[in-house]
Amino acid sequence: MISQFVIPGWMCVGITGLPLVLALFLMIPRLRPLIYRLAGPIALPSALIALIAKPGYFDESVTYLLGVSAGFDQIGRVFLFFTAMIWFFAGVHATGYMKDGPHKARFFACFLIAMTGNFGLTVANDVVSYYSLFALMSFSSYGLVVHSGGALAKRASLVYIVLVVIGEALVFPAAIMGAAGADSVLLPDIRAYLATSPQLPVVALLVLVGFSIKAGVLPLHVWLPLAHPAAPTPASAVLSGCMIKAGVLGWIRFLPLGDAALPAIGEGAAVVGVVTIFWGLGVGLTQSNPKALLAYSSVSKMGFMLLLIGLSLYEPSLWETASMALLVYACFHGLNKGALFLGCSVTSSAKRGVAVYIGLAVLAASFAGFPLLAGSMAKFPFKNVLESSGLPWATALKSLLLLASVLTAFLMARFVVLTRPRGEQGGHKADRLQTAAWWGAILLLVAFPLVLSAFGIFDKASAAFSSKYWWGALWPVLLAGGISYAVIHLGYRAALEIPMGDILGIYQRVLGFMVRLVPTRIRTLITQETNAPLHIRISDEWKQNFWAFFTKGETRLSTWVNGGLIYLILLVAIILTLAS
Amino acid sequence: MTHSSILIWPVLLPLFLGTVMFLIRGRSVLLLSLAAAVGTALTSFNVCRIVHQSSTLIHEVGGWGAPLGIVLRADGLTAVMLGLSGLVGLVISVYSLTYFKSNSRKEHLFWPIWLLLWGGLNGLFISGDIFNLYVTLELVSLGAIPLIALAGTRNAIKASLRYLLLALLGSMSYLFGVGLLYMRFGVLDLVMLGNVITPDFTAYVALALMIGGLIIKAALFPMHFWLPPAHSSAPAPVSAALSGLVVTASFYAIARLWFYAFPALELAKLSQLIGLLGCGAILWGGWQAIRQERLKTLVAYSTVSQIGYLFLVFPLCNTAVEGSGIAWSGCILFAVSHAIAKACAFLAAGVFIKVYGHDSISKLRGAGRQLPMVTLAFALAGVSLMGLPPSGGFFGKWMLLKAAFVTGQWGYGVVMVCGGLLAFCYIFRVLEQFMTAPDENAPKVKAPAVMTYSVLLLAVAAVSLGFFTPVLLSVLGVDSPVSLVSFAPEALLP
Amino acid sequence: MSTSLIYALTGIVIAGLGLFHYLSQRNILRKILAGNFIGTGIFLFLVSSAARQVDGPIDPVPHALVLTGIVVAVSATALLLALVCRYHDETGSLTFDEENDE
Repeated sequence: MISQFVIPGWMCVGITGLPLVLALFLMIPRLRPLIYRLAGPIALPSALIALIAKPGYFDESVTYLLGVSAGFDQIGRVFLFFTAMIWFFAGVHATGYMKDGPHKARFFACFLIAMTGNFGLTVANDVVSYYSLFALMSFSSYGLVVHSGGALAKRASLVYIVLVVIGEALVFPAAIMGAAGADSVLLPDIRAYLATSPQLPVVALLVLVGFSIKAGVLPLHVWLPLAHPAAPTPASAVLSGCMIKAGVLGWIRFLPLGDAALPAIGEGAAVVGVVTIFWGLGVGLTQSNPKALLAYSSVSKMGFMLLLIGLSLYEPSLWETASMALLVYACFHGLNKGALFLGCSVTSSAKRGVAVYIGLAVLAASFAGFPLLAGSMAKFPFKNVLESSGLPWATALKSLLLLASVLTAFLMARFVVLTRPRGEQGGHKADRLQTAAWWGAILLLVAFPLVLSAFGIFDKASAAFSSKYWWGALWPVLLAGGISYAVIHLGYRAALEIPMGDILGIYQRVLGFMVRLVPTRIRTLITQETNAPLHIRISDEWKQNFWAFFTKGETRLSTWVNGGLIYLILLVAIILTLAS
Repeated sequence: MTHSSILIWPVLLPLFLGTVMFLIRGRSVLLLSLAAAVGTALTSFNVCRIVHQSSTLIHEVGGWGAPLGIVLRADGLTAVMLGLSGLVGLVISVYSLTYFKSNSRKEHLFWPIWLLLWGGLNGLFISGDIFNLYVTLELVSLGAIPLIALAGTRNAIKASLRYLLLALLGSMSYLFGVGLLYMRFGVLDLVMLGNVITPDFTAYVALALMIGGLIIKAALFPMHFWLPPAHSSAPAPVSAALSGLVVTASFYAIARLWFYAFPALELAKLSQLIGLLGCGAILWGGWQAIRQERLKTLVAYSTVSQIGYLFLVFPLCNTAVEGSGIAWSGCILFAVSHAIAKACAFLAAGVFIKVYGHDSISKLRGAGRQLPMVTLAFALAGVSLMGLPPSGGFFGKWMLLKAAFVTGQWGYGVVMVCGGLLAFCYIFRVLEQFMTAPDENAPKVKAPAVMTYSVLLLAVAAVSLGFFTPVLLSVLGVDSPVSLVSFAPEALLP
Repeated sequence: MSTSLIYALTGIVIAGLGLFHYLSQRNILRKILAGNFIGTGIFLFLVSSAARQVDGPIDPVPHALVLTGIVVAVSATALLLALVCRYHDETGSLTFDEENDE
């Protein structure tokens, strides 16, 4: 076993904080070219400590803030490892991708700060650090989404930041309720307190909804398909590969999974999870922007994870197997999705070449669950949870999941069609670093069994190597690949080219509805000043009357007599309250 | 207690040098003002350090003790406030060296009055009796108002005149309360008063008059209406001093009376009334801030909103409930963090005014690309105002919210979270404009380096305040009115 | 009814009258005068508290307080008057004209 080193808390903080230190050096213009090159490799120390750390050790020696506690458990190790690896590949990729881009310093500053937030929250063992680092990550990735500055980016970033703030506002009270009740800021104490607390349903709802924004679960996923195409490719890779997993980790860290049963909420979460799976797949199939397609695919995969959480809330005894399934699934999805996103920019400018085709095919096949590749392995623990659950609707769920895997295969076929190298000229050409990062990510994905065994969880997925399951994993891929190939080959291109606006219309309506909840003035401000196409019709007259009330109210207050009278009224009110 | 005379220096030094400044002109102004600022700040920090190391300092001026003489007292709360005024005052002074450079008449008038104001503030913090509080409050008002009028515009004159008339009403009200208390109990010393006060009608009327008067000065909703015009029309460093220190000082006076002189009275119901006003301030101020078209007015309304949080300490810090003492430390932390962040925001607005000649938000489009450092500073101040980690604002809000849950007063928690959302809206609105690409033919601009970096220093201080929470709380813990255990730093740790 | 109580009550009445005019007068100069009335009333009240003990010695503290108070009131009045002059120069008016505000 390589995991035998107890990593002290200060080392966790120091190493996961390295990107932040690097970001500070961006202030010195002379050092910038060096820092752009180091943006990827700075993630490697974190990956290394994740690999060698002995799980189950938390250290409270770092006593700043309200008492930081950091360390590793099994879940944190796996999360930090795949997170750090994706950031590494994305960082190397970004070095090439941003070579001639504008505002490089700003991009890398946001990139590195978000990296620290993302790393730190995987080792955080107290609620303040988790919340702080989560906020750090969320707010600095606003800079990544808005980076290109175009209309799409502005709109996407607006939707993103509004949802992020709502999420923060939901989680904040939950965090304090937990900390106040447990009289401790340590997450394990809070979970233990919540398991028996009557406040659990409230906290659970706040946490589930609050983190589901980051995780991209229906109906709060709207920022994902907008943000991913808008952001630069390396940013999309980390957004989809790791940052949305921070939401999942939030559920795991805040909820007393396995110790408390919340049947109604669990059932609800499971249903939302299943709906999310198919919503993401269905809408994803109609996309013609490959990054939007991948975003929807992420939405669908997050549905799987919410399903696991929901089942564990419904039946706490499931958590032991479900947590392992979740780990394997999150790890697989992070690595695979990260690599797929990086592929978008590699193939878009690559010459037709067998190698690029092979890379793309491996990624897509793995994602669709091709035998012996990562995706098929990730499915097994998942199936085990369902089989061992003994829940009445487990069989129905299993057949639904089969349908989902067929649809996923179709989605991947469509992705390959959309991103296949066309040898087009123009645009910036992927340079060596970009391509190398992509291949690195593919290699790591192919070595998925090694990754799992490094963390001692390979046995959960080893059944995938048994040949009797091959056919089950193979036919959806073959079916989807064959049909898609035939469709394209026969010239029915249009059949798969459902226009993007069709489905965006639905989202606009969802958005419009959500935006309508925002006060009129802010909305008009937003629409006026960003020209965001959030069409809102409210009569001008009504608007004027509404605002006149506030303006007049303020002026009336400030007229002298009114001001003095208020003072007198206040005085009498104070005396009356005291005397009563 | 041989060294207790160090207490008088943070007051005496600026008052003396301020008077000297009236007399001199020319280059020596710059040198002397810098010396005065550094000296005042250092003597303040020194008091802070000594109080932290030993305990409460008591100085009897001229050797005359209470009840006849003037007693100066510096406990943990005073030390925190002195440290705050030292830091913010020093940065404001350094910033002003450049800000007023182009106008020698204003510069000549600014320094003496500013030093007077600063000395008055420090005097207020170390006052040991309720009458001295009155005198220093007046000194602060009489220093603050000419500084607003220094802007010289019609709006500034009008705002300062109105402010002064209201401030006078407030101080007369307070003085009347002092008279009633003296007539009834025969003492002025805060500690003695706390020992002898009994709940009767005279005490309650006096309390109402004093708190009512101070509420005007602290601009608690609905007596806030004088603040936005006054704070937004003053010169930027003055706005920073007003929003950062003067309002905080008025709140300090209320807290001092509430927790030191009046704890024997039955105040639970009044605390709920004040809590309601605080909630009103948070929501109304935040809402109004979103609507403002000018940057400084927006920041001023943000002050109205943030002042509301401070007043929530009265309902939340209920000594009957164990653990609610955390509201007290949260409130002071919030006050310190707000003072720093607000001073920073106003100073940043001042840079924009200096560079562009206006502070209309919609015309500041693209300022972020042209003045990235100042924009960064404003954003960091915004982080603290919104209450995001790791700023002091976050931990202050955290502790206040925790107290809300511990005492079962959930309503205040909801209002606080809503206030955070409102703060996000108004800060984001500004930043969004700053980050938009500037016009193609926008002229290249440059901000004075001294101003830029002093703003940045405050911004970093505001955001990193969270890391110094334990230090701040251990200073605050010296002779605290609220049970110590509930907010000793060790108790916050697991 | 002791003499000092009469003084105290007179002080309260003067302060009350002053307050009424302070709030109701539109002309700023009158406001300032009214403000001085409030101050005088309060000082009278304070001075009367010096004879709290009917037969005992006179308490010197209130006199010191009132003296300090008068100094403060004088400086505040001076500042007010200076500001009113500036205000009159700028606007030509001695009232806060609310309608022309916005």
